[in-house]
Amino acid sequence: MQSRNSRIALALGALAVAVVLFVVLSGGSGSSSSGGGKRSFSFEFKDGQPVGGVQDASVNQGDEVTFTLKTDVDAELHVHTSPEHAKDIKAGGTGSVTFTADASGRYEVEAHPLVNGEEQAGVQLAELTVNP
Amino acid sequence: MIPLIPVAHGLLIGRQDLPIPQWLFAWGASLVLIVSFVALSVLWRDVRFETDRWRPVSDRLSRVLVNPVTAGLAGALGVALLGVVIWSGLSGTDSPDLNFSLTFVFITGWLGLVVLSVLAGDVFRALNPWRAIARAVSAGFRLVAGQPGRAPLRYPERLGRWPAAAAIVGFVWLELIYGIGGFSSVGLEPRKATIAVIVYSVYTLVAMALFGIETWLDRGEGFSVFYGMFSRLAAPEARDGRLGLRRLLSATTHWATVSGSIGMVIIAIGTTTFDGSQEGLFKSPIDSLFRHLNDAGLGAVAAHRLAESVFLALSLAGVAAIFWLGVLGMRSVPGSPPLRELGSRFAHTLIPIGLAYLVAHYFSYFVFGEQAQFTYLLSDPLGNGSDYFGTASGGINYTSLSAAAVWYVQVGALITGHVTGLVLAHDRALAVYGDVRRASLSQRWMLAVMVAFTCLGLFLLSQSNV
Repeated sequence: MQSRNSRIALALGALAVAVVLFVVLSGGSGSSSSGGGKRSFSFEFKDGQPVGGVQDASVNQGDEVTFTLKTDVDAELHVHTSPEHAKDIKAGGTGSVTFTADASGRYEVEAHPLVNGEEQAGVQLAELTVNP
Repeated sequence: MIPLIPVAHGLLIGRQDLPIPQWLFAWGASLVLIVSFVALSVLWRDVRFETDRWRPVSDRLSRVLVNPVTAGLAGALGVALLGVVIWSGLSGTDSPDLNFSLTFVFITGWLGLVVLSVLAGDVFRALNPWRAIARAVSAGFRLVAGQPGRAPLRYPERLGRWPAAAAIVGFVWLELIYGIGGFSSVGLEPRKATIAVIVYSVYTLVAMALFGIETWLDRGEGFSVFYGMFSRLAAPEARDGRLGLRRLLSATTHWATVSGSIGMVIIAIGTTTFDGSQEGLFKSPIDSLFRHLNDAGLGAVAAHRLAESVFLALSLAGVAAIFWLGVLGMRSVPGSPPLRELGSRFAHTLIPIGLAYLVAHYFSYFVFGEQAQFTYLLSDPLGNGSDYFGTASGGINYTSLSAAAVWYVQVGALITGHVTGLVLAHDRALAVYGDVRRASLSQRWMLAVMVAFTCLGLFLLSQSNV
């Protein structure tokens, strides 16, 4: 009985050491980069596709982000954050949305072509990555 | 025009988790190894979880919670919710994220019932709308005919739980592959999903009429078997109308006696693995297979679905292979039972891993989905601007979960599942081999299986899709 208790104590001890080490070390390496900067990204939507492929838009939490879209058809620029950010742009025109990236995560940035004002299925322009 | 590579992403929530950072991956993996060796050193010698231990709770508590009125209410609630799903799906908006039905089916129901089952036992049995309808019809028949109805067909026992496993694969396929729908993020249209719900309802009711309600619930009805599996981890269980508590985990040990049960556990892990890797590990192979199929003349949507289906099948096969390799290794220990029997005797040890995978992959998705469910989807189920409960203007708040909170839950779930799996495997090994020495020998193999699954889980979480 004693040996079992001591083994359990040993196990709990090892676990405690691991947890403490984890907390100490993660505090150091997990420190986040500070946001508050301004970041801009531009896309071009042509022939139903993003020119240059899907972009990776990586920003820090708290940054002010501006997305600009140039499009050859009527389209809506749509950022799938919550709340969402959207802007209708006329064919041949350019439009942009600006917002503060306040929640970490990965979000889709899409162009929804507009046919007779009806929003069509979205085509991905970029993935917005908001780092903590 | 060159076909676009389809955009695949979460069906209803426009946000995905950030990959876990490298330091957390390293820590998670080392913790898994530490925990495993500690587990090996504190091995107990007597079987603990195999015996059925169930103690009734106080009479009053039991009478309040388990009685004909609560049973009737739960069944009625299940049927009512099925009705709301069908109503909103057929007459509501086409936007997947603005229609009550899809979020309810794929998030609140599908994931929420896993949570409820693990915490409170087999709740789905009480809520199951098909069971409630079938029982009502059966009671009506008895009233009219003066004798209970008898199932006209005998269930072919060799099918085991495979029909249930097939149903769950079909459901996940609908969500993850069919639902992504080709070129865009249109997702699964509510109307199509609702037609699938109706088809499955009819199929289930017919099967119950043919084989008997209880037989089909235990063998063929996918959701009953799936949630029943996870409910075995919980303590509460009603027996003969009496509520009681069983020893935690002990009910899992009698779960996998029916053939096909292994399939169900493997599906829980394998489908989640597929979902976790379709935008990371599998992204470029899926894209290249898609191109090949498309070049060979297959339409873009069909090529996309076929390519994804192939990788879903590969995920399931890979998970099955890891498990069966471990069992094969265990077979080398003297006194082992035949391979198939050995496999089914250890199948239940993967239930906690399956749960861990679900929690790790869908925790934030579930939290945000419920924020939508209980705000605008509740007050405006059809997406037509109504506001029944005054919550239509509410919405998801992505700042409510920090990145670190999500990461800790993910890694914590995987490690907890790992430990629980080891506990169950060691206990079962004692029962199978009889002595600690051979049990420990066999458990090196199961330890390898568990480490493989846990590290695969961590790896998937650390993958970015860029």
